[in-house]
Amino acid sequence: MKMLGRASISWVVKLTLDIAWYATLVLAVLVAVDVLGGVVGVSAGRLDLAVRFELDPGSYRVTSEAYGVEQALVTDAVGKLVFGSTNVSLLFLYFGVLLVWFGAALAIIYELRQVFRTLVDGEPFVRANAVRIHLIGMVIILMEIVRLVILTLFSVFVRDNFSVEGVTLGLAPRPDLGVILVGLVVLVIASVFRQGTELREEQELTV
Amino acid sequence: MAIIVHLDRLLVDRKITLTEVADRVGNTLSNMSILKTNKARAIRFSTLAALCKELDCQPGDLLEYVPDPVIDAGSG
Repeated sequence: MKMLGRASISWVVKLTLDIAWYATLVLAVLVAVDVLGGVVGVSAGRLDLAVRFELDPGSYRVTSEAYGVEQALVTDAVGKLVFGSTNVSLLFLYFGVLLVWFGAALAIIYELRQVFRTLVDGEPFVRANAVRIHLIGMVIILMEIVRLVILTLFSVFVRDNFSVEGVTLGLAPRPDLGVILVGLVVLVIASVFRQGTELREEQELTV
Repeated sequence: MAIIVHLDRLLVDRKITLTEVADRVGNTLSNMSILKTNKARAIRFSTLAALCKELDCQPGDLLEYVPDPVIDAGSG
């Protein structure tokens, strides 16, 4: 199967990105309505916080008879804390986080759609693509930093305000170096596209 | 641009059109237009040789080096 042009893998990816773009838009609106419902007092706003936690080995005994394990630890577990709230300032803060999150996701999907449109058209080496791919790389790296800050704030909030017996909630988040690496690779690809564009322009203006 | 192409002047002197010279050197009209309007970034030796042959000239008649103006920021 061919990679570029009509009825190619690029075309399939472009179609998938188009669907993802509209799905993310709809999801963003639904989540915003869910949260803003609490702000205007129609319903309790729904918050969905990512939390890391571990089980207290004194309260929970995890064992394995088959392998003779007397006490295993459940640690570094990741879950979601979902609850309704009518606290307006909390809901506004959460709404701000959602705006940043969905904004970044939509920006990346939008730029990817534009890049794949040029791939379907068979014109990958255009100056705009280098700029778009560079932007995607920057957003990926920036959002990993923002994610760490937000999750740190979440973990402090959860640790201070929620408790479950035998569970330590709100462990500090860990940086995902893989995401940073992906961002750096995308930045390098952007510079490859820039050089490709310059070569193409050079070739077009060679008589 | 440091290199100026004098294709337009040579065409007038030889009384031939751009289309005609494009046909004779076996190049496209758009490429010849790029050359004539000094938008070209590079010229192949084969194109230069074909132009020199058809226009009966030397590369120096077609191309001229003009130094870029030096801007003296400290003067005044």
